[in-house]
Amino acid sequence: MGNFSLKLETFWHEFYTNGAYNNVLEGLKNTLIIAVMGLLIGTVIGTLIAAVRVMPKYKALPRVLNGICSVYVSFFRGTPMVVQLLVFYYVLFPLVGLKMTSIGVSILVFGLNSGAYISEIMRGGILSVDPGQMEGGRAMGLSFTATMIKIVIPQAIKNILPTMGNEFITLIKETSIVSFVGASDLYKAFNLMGTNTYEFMIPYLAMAIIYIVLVLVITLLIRIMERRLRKSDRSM
Amino acid sequence: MIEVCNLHKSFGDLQVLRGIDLTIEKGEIVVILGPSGSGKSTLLRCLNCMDDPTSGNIFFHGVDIADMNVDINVHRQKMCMVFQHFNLFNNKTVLQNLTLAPVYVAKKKARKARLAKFFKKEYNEEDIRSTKEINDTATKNAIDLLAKVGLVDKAGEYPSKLSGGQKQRVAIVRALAMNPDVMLFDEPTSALDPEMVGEVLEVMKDLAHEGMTMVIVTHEMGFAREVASRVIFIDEGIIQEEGTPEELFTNPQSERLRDFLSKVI
Repeated sequence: MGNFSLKLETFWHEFYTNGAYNNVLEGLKNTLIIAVMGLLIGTVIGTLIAAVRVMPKYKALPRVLNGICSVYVSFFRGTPMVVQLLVFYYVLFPLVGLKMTSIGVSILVFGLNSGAYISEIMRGGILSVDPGQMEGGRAMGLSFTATMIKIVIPQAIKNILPTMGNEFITLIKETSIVSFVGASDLYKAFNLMGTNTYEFMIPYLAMAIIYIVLVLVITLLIRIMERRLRKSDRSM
Repeated sequence: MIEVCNLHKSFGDLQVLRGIDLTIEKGEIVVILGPSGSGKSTLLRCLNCMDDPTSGNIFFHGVDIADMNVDINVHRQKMCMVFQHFNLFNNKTVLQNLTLAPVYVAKKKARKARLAKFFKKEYNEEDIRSTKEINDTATKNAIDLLAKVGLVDKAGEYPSKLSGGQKQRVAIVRALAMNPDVMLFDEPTSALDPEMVGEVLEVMKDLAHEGMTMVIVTHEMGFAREVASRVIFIDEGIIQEEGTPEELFTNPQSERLRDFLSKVI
């Protein structure tokens, strides 16, 4: 184990004395930004898609929208996120001449990708709300959209919170791929430490620990949130 | 007020309504009776297009609302429905349940009127009201209505804390808050415990005495007899018999109605 303590010393030297912790903090910040923003964008997109998918389809417009949404969902669920990231960064954006930082593209792709998954979660949530709620709203003369926004979706969100927590955890861990397009996240920070010191064992171990701690903290937060919601259920 | 012409409704291969003709005048209280599966609830739900008719016309204030191009929401605001399972908004308090739709409608009107004013088109000056004014009016109206059914103290509660009878009374005043021209009741007492039926029927009787136009699907024969101005008996998707309660209950013409009455009374 003498070897191990030497490695630890090299790691600490690089981490603290050479200032690699700055990279780690920067990476942590980016990881969180990408995951949180991705989740927010994904929630908005996912809710819209889910609403379209449960719309009654007598008229042409909902049918067309439904078609677009199902193509969207199959594309983003049918290809790996790394591929989407690469396609957006190296193909799509240069093609249309748009300039965006790698963090920006990552946020966008994470949002679009999680939107596809959240749409299905949200659709399940909407279907779990008693159809009578929609009927009650429509019978009062509220439009489909107004009833969705004011009545059904707030109740759906309550039902899907645990699953949304799951989605957030997945997103946090998936951020480790953004270095493919050069964004500096946790992985990149620790990998850099490895290449600088020719010693990968401790950096990667430390990275794993940070991810675990992140996920544990989020799990705890979700549990607290759920408990709060349940409390309001009881008092209702 | 409502005129139904040759209304048909099928769910897939199942023909539920096979040609209903019906006229409902202002102030009438029409009770629809019929055995289970006869299509009485479907008829009621077709009246405000909760179920879209397969064919036929429904004229409400002279407009054919069975036409898919008509903005049904505007007409539903004047034709409110009370459901068997209440369908109160679970994420809203009792008070919010009552104010939600009126506020939504008033705000929409105000928005439209402001837009029309901006483009110098014709508009109704009364429609332009501030959000605060709209909210205050709706809240005041809601409290008055709750007072009418003795539920003011429940204004801040969520529906899950109410008993079935209380829920249904809230559902009735929620519909009333829209100031409708006609109210549709879809078996309003069928999901209630027996001791709560009375309180809901009481509210409905009061409404009847105030001259509200009502169309009611119910199994409460006593109630039908007491308040109905006309009773309609439906079986197998067509109107078998209609008339005043006395005519139908004391002197039923058709074999089906006699059979039905002997089972329920």
